Amino acid sequence: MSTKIVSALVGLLLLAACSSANDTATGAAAGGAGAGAGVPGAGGVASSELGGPRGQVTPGTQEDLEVNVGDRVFFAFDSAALDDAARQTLERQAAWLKQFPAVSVTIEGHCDERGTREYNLALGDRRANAVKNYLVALGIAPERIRTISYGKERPADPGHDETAWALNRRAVTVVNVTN
Amino acid sequence: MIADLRLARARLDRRRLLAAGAALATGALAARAPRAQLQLDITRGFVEPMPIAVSPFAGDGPGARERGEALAQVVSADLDSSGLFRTIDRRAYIQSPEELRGIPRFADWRAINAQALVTGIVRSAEPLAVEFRLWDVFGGNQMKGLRLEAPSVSWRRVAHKIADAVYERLTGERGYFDTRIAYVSESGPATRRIKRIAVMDQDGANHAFLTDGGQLVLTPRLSPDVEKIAYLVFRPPAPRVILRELASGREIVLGEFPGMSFAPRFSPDGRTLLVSIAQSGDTDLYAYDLASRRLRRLTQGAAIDTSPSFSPDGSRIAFNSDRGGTPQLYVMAADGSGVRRISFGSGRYGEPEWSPRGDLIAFSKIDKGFFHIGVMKPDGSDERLLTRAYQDESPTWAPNGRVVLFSRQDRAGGRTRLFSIDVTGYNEREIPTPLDASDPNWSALLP
Amino acid sequence: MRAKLDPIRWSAGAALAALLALASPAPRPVLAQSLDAQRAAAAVARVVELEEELRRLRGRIETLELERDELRERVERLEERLATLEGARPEPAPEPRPAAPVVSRGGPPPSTATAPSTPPAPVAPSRPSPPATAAPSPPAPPVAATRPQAPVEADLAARRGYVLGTIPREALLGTEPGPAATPGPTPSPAPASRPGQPGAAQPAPSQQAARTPPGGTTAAGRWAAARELLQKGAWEDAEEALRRFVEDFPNDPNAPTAAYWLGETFLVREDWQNAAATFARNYRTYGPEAPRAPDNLLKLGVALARLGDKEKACQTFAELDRRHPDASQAVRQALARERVAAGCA
Repeated sequence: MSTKIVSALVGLLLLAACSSANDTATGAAAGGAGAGAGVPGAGGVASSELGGPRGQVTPGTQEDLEVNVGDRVFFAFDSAALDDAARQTLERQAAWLKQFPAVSVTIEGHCDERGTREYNLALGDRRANAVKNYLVALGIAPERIRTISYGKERPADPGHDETAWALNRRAVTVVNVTN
Repeated sequence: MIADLRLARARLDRRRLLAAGAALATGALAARAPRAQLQLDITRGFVEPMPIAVSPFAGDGPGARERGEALAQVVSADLDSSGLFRTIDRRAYIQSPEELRGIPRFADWRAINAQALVTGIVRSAEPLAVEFRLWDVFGGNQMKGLRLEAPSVSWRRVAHKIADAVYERLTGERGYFDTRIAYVSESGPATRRIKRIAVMDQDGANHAFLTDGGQLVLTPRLSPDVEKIAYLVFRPPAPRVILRELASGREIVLGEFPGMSFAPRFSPDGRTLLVSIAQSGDTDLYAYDLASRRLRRLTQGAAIDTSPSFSPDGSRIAFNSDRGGTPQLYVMAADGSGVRRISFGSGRYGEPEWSPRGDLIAFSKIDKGFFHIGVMKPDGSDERLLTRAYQDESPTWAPNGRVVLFSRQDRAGGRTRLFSIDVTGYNEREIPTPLDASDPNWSALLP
Repeated sequence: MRAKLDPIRWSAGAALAALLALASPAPRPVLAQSLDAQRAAAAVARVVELEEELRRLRGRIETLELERDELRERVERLEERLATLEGARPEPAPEPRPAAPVVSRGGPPPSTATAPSTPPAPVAPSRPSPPATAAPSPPAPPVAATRPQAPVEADLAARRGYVLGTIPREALLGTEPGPAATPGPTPSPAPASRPGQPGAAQPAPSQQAARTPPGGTTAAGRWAAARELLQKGAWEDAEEALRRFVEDFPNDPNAPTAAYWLGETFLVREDWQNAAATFARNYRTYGPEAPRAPDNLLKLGVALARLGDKEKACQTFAELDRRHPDASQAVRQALARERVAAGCA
């Protein structure tokens, strides 16, 4: 129960994050990295990785992107349309990418579980490309951006309710490690 | 190889068989009274299963009796699993396997209300040689006799072939017990699920993993000759389809396509593989000729076209598309022409699977918060929903077109398992797997 | 390395941007992007939305086309019917007896040929009941030919896609559920004479129309004969036999079961109106404790649903759920499915 509340709060924070550029709350780290990330039901605590205090984040890293820019945008059900919040996040991402021209990224498109596996693979691809096209229009070289769809294979929130689904309908910008 | 020599021609009521066959084509059961013959009639949904006796087989020589015991068990389990038969507890049998080498004392079997009786003799254990007979208890005659030979490692296949012969003789439809199932085995937390391709016999025996879980794999499909398997693997630089020979384990990465290629489906002749290719956010269907390695585009436009399925004659393709704003089912000619939408009910449809019989298309559908497995005619009429659950997906047909296998995810436990259901909507049962299971694919009858 | 180029969308975006530049005022506050980039990006996002809108419109067209096709079909059917009405006037009964409106009992299709021109008032194809003296009375199907009829009927029913649902085989064999005990009323072991004789021991249903119901005068014989007709899928004849059985032997223990099957004969022929009426009457007549009571409710609901009365159908299903929590698993399963099919909440 309380997991849901916590993740709901996380969801709200994430959505609210669009207005303030320097929030520190993020959802589960990209790809659920790290051991023990967000174990459901474990005392109702959703663990989310916090970056260090602002000054300590290494600029131009994934952590920097997550903490200071926002690494993900969210979508409505069965849609790849970018709402105002998403566009603002992507505008910040574009500015950040211009700041670090050596960085290249992969956009991961994801879906909630309320669709078939194959359709969702295609939908995730559509979402990732919507994000890519937006960033390119903002002046980022297409060569710096790859896309991949995970469909519903890699949920950020393992829950089975509207809150979890909303958090899972996302596109995450991931800094490529080797480049 | 397995020899099929009819020991004695069963005295057949030809007309009745034909009638049964016709009724079967429409597909549940209204058994006619005293004779061991089921009439399947889809309009009749559910009937009490036919009581049948499967005696342990008699045995000649060392190890033969034990094998005969095991064979009878597998045959019984197969027949029971169909929901059309109920094997009578062998403790009720009056005649012993040895006594059954000749003509049975039918009165003994009528006494326990067996409508049909299966007997057998294991002539040799290695190589395995088995004779079996199917008897009409009330008619007092032999309906079928077969001699089968195989290396003893394949003893379960011999049992499945016997069950298929019994099923076929009593229902007039082809059996489906000598088949395999490919699926995706799942373990680990939802956010970092480990998935492996696995194959097993239709009854869960001879289970084997084909991949080690190091890479994400999805949607296995067996070739019509059950010699190859195609599946999606997340292997850089992009997710793509792998074609693997089951015997040798040799893998071929399918073409260097521009974007993600996924959702592989074999044509009925095994020569073509349909794939979906996602490019710049649009997903289209392509036909890939396995011999010439040529790729032919079948659909286009700013939409998702995926989850294709050939009609059994190879002339048409059903697929899933959101070109109409929501995912729906469409049918087109195999060359991509003449696209027509067939799903118009409420809800969102996906994963059309053409029945090997050709008469129905199975699909999954989400409507008002629930997932269903359903069937409709290829023209979209007569939609019937067979199941309803939090999440039912990935329907696949038994080769005789009477049973649909699918995966079901619980909402509460989050477990994902395989279930089968009769096309009439009855006899839903779980197919046990060692771990969680999804994306099932039912093979054709083994050659 | 592998850049996925999407020049079309970008140029579309640029074009749109140019348009939007004329129309829209400055977009939202800027971080580091130029105004041009902002506009281009807005246009790109707009393309995604337009594509979704386009798909929705297309879906709307698809539905409209379907509706148009269905309408067209209906009009064609109407025209056909009109043509028949205007042209060949419908057949009269050989001996018009508008009284005694025996509900349709499928005889052979009325011949339009020799019809004298008295159009019978009743629209329902009512066949004159006992053909009494008329020598060429509408012939009952020859006994031998009834056998192949069953699959055909079944096939028809299948094509209509209607699922009857629960029919324990015992019901057809005569013993009410219970463990599949007796193998049927006629075990008659005579192996020698079996092959090639369809229905050896059947009490050949002499369907001398309605006059003498098949199966003789005893309740047992009549019941057996009615079941025989059911098994063959001879719905019209079964209807008649069941109706008369229920009338003639109202206190027979098999009467409730017969009444239930009477309803089924309508259901399978998609005569929802008569089916609903029969099942409702059965439930009232025999009460909730009678054999087949839950089945009657279930099928009443099905018939109502098919009549398009979703509300009443769902109420009936709810009633079944409430009053018969101990109904057989088959009924429960069917209930669940029919509720879904009817779209009950």
